[in-house]
Amino acid sequence: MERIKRLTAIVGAACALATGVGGVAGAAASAPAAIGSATGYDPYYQLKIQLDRPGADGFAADRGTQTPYVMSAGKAAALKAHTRLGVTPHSCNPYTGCTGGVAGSVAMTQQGQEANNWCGPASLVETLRQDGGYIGSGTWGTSRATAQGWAARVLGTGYPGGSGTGGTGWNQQDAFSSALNSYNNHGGYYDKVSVGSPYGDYVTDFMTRMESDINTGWGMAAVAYEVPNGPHLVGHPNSTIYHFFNIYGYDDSASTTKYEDSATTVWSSVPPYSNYNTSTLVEIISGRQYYW
Amino acid sequence: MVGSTTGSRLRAVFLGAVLLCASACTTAPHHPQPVAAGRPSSSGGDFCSVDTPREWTTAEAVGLLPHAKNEIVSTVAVSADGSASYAADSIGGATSLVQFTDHGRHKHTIFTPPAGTYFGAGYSFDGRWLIFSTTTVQDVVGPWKLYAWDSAGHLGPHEFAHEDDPVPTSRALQTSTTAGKVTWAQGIADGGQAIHVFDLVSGRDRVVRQAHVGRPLFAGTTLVWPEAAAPDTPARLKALSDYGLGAPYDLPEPLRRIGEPQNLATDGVTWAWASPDFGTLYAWRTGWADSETIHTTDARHDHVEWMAVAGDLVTWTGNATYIADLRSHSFTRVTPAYGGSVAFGKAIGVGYPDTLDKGGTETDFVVKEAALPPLPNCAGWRAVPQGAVANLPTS
Repeated sequence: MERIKRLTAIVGAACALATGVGGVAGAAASAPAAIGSATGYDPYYQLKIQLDRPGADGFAADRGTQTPYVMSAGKAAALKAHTRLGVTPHSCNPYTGCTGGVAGSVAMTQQGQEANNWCGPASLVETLRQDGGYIGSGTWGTSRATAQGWAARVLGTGYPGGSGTGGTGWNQQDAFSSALNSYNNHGGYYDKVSVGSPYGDYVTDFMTRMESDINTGWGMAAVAYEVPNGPHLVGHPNSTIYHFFNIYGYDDSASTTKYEDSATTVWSSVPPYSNYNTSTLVEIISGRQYYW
Repeated sequence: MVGSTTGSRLRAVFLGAVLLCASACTTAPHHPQPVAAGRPSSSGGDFCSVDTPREWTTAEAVGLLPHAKNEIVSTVAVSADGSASYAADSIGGATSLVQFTDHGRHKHTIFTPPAGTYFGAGYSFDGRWLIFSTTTVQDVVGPWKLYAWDSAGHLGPHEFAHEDDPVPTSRALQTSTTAGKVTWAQGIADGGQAIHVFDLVSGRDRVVRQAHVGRPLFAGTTLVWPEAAAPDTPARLKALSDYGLGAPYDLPEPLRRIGEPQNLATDGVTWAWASPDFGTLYAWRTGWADSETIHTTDARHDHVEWMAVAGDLVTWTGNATYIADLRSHSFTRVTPAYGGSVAFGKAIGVGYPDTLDKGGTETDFVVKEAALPPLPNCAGWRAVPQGAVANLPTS
């Protein structure tokens, strides 16, 4: 219990690094040629009308949840819709996966973050593209107008490469779920789930929710919290790193997670798309949160 | 040492990996019970997994670095003979760079950053000079300063390069050091990077290449780096002789053929790298006709990363940290889970978390190759093919 409290009390920034250890070398990897397709495509959502979304100041309040067992009323309603459509996953086991589906994915939308502190904006754009959501265009300073520039404004991330912004920081992690809820094209809810520990229900719930979201055409996002000599996202150096990333699919009955990493422009060793053992990935997220 | 309470939790989590292990289990070091189920060597790998020999676990136990209860140590470098190690040492939230000698019994503080300043990830060591970086922000990339410290005792830690306003597309700072030369890649306005070579003796900084490059590193007197025509496009290794100040260097054929090398590591004689999907570990050394596959794993569940080279030993980390022995064509697992390693000369430093709790304590040990007899051979093992391949110049 004390351990969980300690982890959830940790604050900090994403796209950020603390006392570092070691280093990596390598070269840029090219993106896979194949483009993924949504599994369990849901005609229910195709009927939704794409609305002109409100601006950066108008998005809905954060709908975060703090435990793995609780979900917001909106998310529960969305899940009920999934259930009616028969795509809700069944029981999940960290080692054997879920019974609801072998594999699934939404569109592969990876893009390198345009600034080293813009993992949040990049991940927001990647996720909204999977959702068919609204994406604006914005500028910072003299840079050209881009989707990530718009997202940086929405999230309050700060100037590209701006010193002292703390990357896509702690307070913007609430803004991230608010932005997803305002601009996604599902009319549905994204909940923020703080992962207090890398054990038990946090893993199985993540698997259940990933399968549910991917099967209904939703992308997900998460924040990695990597520490020296602990598990890291593929290609990341052996350092303390906080980092937003996108989840676009699963395999092996959800015991494998497929994710996108915008840090291809930060470390040349980072692949744009990777597969990862789901239990280990939840371990990486623990102390931070995911958005489903 | 894995603590009794937290260790049991780690073992419980680790049980999953045990269940997935079919054979060839190894013994984790310093543990009262043989926990570590190693993974079988896959059919794609030429090397095989073997149990950790008693001589190895003894050497690891001898090399354990004692820590205070509230002390978190992350080893960043070791001396060539393993007699000293260098670490980021955190006690009560304050972190210093320290030197451990006399099996960790003596600790010398090298540098403590001022308030509001943090260590970066730009550590490297050439046997004399320890290079490290600091930053004033916790972004992955931000303003940085590079320092050098003379382990020979002639010069204290001193700043020799800095970047106050990195361009937004700058990559994270990483360094490599040899014979008093330091190299790193620094972002430039066109989205590429400039490779710097700094001479610590003369104080001269030169830019030797501007392109889309990965981390430059020294291999003896040769400067090597991956280079791509554009971001997110395949890269190939390029090289310059004379510490980067000379003519383009034709790398041996096995290195020229590497497609998109990941996590390249070398001591100038032996090279190790991973496949683009981080699923296969390769090694090549001077005199070999071709590269060898050390290990292939299912990249959906495990990865090959963070390689280091020490003489005949190649280390890597995936779900655990492993050491491959080129003398025997076999490898063994040396941590219960995860961890990391650094190497220099013929010494290796290994660290791993005592629990899955982030920010918790670690176990660290330093081993010398001389204290590690060759691992057991594997059935069907064959001698490494020898070929007439040009040697790389060494310092």
